[in-house]
Amino acid sequence: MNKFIVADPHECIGCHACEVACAVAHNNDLWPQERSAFIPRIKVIFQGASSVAVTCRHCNAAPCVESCPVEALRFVNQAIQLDAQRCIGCKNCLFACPFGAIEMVPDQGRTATVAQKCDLCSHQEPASPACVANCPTQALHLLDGSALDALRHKRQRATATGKYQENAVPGLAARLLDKPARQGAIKIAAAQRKTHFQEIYQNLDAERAGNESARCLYCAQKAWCNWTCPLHNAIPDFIRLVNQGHILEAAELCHQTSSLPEICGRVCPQDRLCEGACTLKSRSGAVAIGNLERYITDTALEMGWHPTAGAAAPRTEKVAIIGAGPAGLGCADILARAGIQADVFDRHPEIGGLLTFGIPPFKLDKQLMARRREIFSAMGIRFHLNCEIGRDVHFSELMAQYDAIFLGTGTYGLLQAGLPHEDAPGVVQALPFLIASTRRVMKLEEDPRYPWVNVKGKNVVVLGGGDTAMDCLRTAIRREAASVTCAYRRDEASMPGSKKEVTNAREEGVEFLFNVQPQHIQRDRKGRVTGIGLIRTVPGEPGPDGRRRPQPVKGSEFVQPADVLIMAFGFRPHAMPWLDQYDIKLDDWGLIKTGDGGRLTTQTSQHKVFAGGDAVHGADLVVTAMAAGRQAARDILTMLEHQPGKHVARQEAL
Amino acid sequence: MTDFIFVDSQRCIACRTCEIACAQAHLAQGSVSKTAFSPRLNVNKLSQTSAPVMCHQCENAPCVGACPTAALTIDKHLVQANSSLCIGCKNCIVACPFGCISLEHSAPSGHTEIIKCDLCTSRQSGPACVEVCPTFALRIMRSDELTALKDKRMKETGSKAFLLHL
Repeated sequence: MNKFIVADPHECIGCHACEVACAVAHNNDLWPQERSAFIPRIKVIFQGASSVAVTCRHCNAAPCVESCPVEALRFVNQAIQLDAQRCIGCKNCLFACPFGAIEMVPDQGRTATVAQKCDLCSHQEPASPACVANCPTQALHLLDGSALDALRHKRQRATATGKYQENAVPGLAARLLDKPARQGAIKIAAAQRKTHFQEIYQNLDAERAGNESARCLYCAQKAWCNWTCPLHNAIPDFIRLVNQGHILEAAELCHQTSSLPEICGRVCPQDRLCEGACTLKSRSGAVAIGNLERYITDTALEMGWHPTAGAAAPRTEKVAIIGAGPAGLGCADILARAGIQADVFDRHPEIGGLLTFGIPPFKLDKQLMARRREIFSAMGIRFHLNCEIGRDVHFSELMAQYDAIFLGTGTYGLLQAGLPHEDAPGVVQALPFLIASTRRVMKLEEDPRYPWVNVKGKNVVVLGGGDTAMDCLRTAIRREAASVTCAYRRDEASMPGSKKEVTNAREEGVEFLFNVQPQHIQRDRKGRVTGIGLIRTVPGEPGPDGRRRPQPVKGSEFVQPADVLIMAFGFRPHAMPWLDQYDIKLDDWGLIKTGDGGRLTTQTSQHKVFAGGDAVHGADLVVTAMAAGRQAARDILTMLEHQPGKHVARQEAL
Repeated sequence: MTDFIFVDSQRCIACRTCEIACAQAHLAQGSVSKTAFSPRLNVNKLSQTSAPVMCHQCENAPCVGACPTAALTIDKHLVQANSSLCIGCKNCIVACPFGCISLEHSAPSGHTEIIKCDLCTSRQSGPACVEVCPTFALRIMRSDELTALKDKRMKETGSKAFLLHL
């Protein structure tokens, strides 16, 4: 009788710990590099609120083995094992398996696509399946012939005696899931918070942090939440440390994977990331991971703790980092910890990039970035602020003086709606609007590149439905606009941003118009904006990305009055002409190309120039930019290790 | 994942219509005859069963690996044959575990043609064999269909697994 893994559906809580354990066990105990490389051999199937994990049954008369023409699938030691080297990718087994337990995957090290299936973790010593070992409710069992016999005999005895009571005892799952409802951070009431620019969420107090951390199930050390986090923060472990009262240890742990944990705790869309992946999400509510992450670092810093660069011996190499946003700071953090001198250049007067100037103060207190600047400076990172490449310093100077350069320049180009009169007075772009407002809160003088727009007493309409649109809407509310309206071309469920922000905006008095498409800008005789012509839409056929294209409804045109019209359609790459002379290749959209042709994943076509963040993958989250910056730093370290001689790079630059 | 032609041997009645359609589809001019007959699939009529067999368009195809001149290459949808590069070494014939590749040597010109299923990529209406089969024993299986099938089965496996208890 072959061995196999089977799940008890009554005990499965759908935490995905088995999937994560499987993917990691088959990747040398490391997280897969790419999201697409996460292909576990066991899958959790959901049916309504119930879930069950399924994998290969290791059939005794296996159709897959029978169908394989090259003996890549064989019976080995009471299991069916696949020899990937032999697999020719004919897909016979995939078709033969009635369980859908075989998958075609890219083979590591080869360019081929080969079959993949459960191997009962036979590569491990002693062979014990990772999924079984990591299931928090012991729902997964590895059964063999004798275990099946024992199960049958036990049931036969129960049948004979008529006593089935053993099954009625509530299992581990029920006990584990018995948690109080989510509390989370206290939010300042809308009526009060819309009168100022201070943060709307209060920090957790020790009692709330204790309660919230006690709710974590600790599904596994490597759980679904930390797989979903782009930085793979050790979420279950740091929550456990909070619960044990070890705040400083928790802060140390947070800083191992993140360069700005208290910032991520504030600005990440947790409902789409870690908290969206929490096993408790659809039960008593996800653990308030973001609030806890913020609590840990804020509390540790208040206690006088601060992150240090560690004990790495100083090295002679120097790296220039362009852009002090999350990507650049992530990169500088890792380099400083490796003992490398990191010089960060930014055109703004404060570090943070869009964190400081794009994200409004009511989401992120600007004092935090100043505090971070001091911490990073103490770690040995040098900041050159108000310093623009091509104006204050030339890229060629950096190329000549530094051993490597990291480009974390973001995407500051603005998308247009393509309507006539977009340059009319009263039409403003989201980013300059936000920057001007933030500069005023920070009491910086007005910058002509980001002109101040007074919306007091005016009707404001924001076109767009993402997080930036929400920031504009809520800024306009705080700037005492007479009315603030969001016009979005799809329905509420299709909004790309964080649901939490939509709720906050609505509470503060934002009106929403869904399924409307802008058609024309209405102006008065002086050319000033007076309204936006909209047409109602219905969802059309799904496009190539699976999202439905809105279709206009004939005769449904109307004009929404607007004195100020804010365009928040997103960002695209901006021109960086100084890159051209060094043959740094861009793609058709103007994003910097990295990683082609055997290069490191963040290396550009110029071997000592690296790039990451929005400038490479397009406008995205703070946390994805930081993850990219940290990866680039690791790649820079690899490059410096393998450099034949430093003079080679210098010569190339000259 | 590549596409391939799925054969349901339960339905096959060994009529060989597919062979004729295939041979005709790959003829530049004229019609098939005793001398001009090179189908890319072959109906095997055995005592218990019958079925046409043809190239599986393997992802990691032994024929592609064995070819020294890149006359056989894998692209997104299938294993492509370029006869103009073929030197007739016969490696591919020995490599293919399905016996579904052959070479045709024309003595006067010295030209060798690789005979294997090309999924009728030059035909607008798709594979000729699939089109003509009177019992619908042949079907083109696209990669997304196969993935959908696997996902469906895994889902069914899940719903059956809810009946288990330990």
